[in-house]
Amino acid sequence: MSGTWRALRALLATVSILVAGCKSPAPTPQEELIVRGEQIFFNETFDGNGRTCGTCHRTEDNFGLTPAFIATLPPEDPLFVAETTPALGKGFENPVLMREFALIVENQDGFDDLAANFNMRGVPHTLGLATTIDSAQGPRTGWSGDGAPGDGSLRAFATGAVIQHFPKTTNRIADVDFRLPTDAELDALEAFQLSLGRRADLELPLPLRGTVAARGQEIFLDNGVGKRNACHFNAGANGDPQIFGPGAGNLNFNTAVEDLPDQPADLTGELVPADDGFGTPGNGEFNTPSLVEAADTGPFFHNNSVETIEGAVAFYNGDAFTGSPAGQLLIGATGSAINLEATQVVAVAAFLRVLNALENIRASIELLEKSTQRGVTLQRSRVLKRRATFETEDAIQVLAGAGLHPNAVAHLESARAETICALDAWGSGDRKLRRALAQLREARDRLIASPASDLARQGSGGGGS
Amino acid sequence: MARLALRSASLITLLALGASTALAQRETERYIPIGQSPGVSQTATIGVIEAVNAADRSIRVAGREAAHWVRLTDRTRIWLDRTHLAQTNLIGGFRDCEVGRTVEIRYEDPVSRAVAAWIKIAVPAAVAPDAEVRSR
Repeated sequence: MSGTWRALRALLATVSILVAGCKSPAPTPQEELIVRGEQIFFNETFDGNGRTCGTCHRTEDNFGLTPAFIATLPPEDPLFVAETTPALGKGFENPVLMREFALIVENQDGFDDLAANFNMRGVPHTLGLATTIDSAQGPRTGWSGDGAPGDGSLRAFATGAVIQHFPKTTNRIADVDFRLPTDAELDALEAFQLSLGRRADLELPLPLRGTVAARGQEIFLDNGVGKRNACHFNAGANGDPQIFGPGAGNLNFNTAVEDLPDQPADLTGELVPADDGFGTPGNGEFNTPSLVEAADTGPFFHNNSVETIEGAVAFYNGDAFTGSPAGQLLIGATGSAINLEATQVVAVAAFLRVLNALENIRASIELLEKSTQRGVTLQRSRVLKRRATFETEDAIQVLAGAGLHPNAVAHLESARAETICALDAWGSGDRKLRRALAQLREARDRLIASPASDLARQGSGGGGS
Repeated sequence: MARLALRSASLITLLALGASTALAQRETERYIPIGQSPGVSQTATIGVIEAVNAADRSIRVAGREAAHWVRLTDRTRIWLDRTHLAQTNLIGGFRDCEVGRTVEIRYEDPVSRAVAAWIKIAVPAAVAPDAEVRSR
């Protein structure tokens, strides 16, 4: 019986595809470019050591990489090439720090002393890049804003990444140890990365329903208490235009994360040289990341030194930040250091968790709706639904992790289950998919009192991909 | 009220001053062969060294545009491009600027084209091993 049913479903799916294929408008050139970029991102090794962009920027892990995810990988995963390839055994990665803290070797200050001159950095996610790179001084990529060779753009970033992370040997000879991406590949990779996550900043304050999160938002926006909105305007990655001028965009600061005592990587006894940040030699500054995507993309800071979002908020209370150049500027301007009590730290973190969950829900809805569009193949539809599932799971984790909005979590659990059931379904008429979308909207309505259309617009930038 | 306004103004000034300038640069540039730097090589000078003035640390380069003098400062990064020899690229010095060698130059100011931000020098096969010894 079940075999007959499966065969019937397969036949119906095939017929649907054929029918839809006849009706469907051709994908736009931009959509084709994004799909091509996605294929390159996850499959192209550039004739190197077997890694792809997706080796470190995992779909399942918010296009980043965490120790928990690394623990699930088999030994032959290309992430571990330094453990399996003799030519990359020295000066390419530190397997101990990679496995325990998801830290990757970066040679920001040169390649002439691989044994001693390197940085250990986390893998930044690639979500919301459309809102986080531009600055008045030019594009800022990577943890210190100077991650790309060439013109420093996101487009050029892939070339640097191939040279740093993809070579067969540390000689890094083009056309021997790797091949460089072509112009067409760089265009496609850029388009795909810019299509991920938000394409516009939020407009705070939001009408949040949660008491603690709403208080956290007040603290966040208060330049006399939380003082966060100046550098993370609207909880994004850009400076407040009223402070830094219109178009200031993304900024670099020295917040002295490097001065934190008892950093996890240091405690291992492994060599972890001080990271001097932006430039060669560095000036100690690092790039301002977006906070909307923060809660589900820890560990935090360039060196993965803080595990929780609460810890990251509390960092700004400590001596390291207070004594830093950025902390001193803030004290000089406002008359006091940041000094949040424990309840206030938790409130700001709750606010950031809810913001993150709202973004997860927005992305999940967008992905599910996109999966049903005409012209989307069954295989592509499945990819989009799978990504929607990851987003929904993240929303559950960031809320449940702090005991926030259990009623919304229940709806999200249902949405997740319905989405998984709908993975192999196809077309907008699928009941499971409709139920998943309804559950996501229910969950969103538990978090925020805002017309759905308004919130959907916030963050999407009105564009599609 | 006036105090708050003063503090806001101070915050604006101080934080604005604290923001650093982006320089599109990264050490991986060293391994990109001449003519293939994304977003740069299309406008950079790629040509041949016609003359060298060691006293002024400047070179005269003839490329797509008219021949002109370019100065190399302490900030200028000098790389020896040996990709065509299937050898690793090296850090070089001003003495590697020899007449007849092909170079790619990115300028600090692309309008004045007076000072090189970086220069890549194609190393002929005959001198490649020597260059490696000198640079390491």
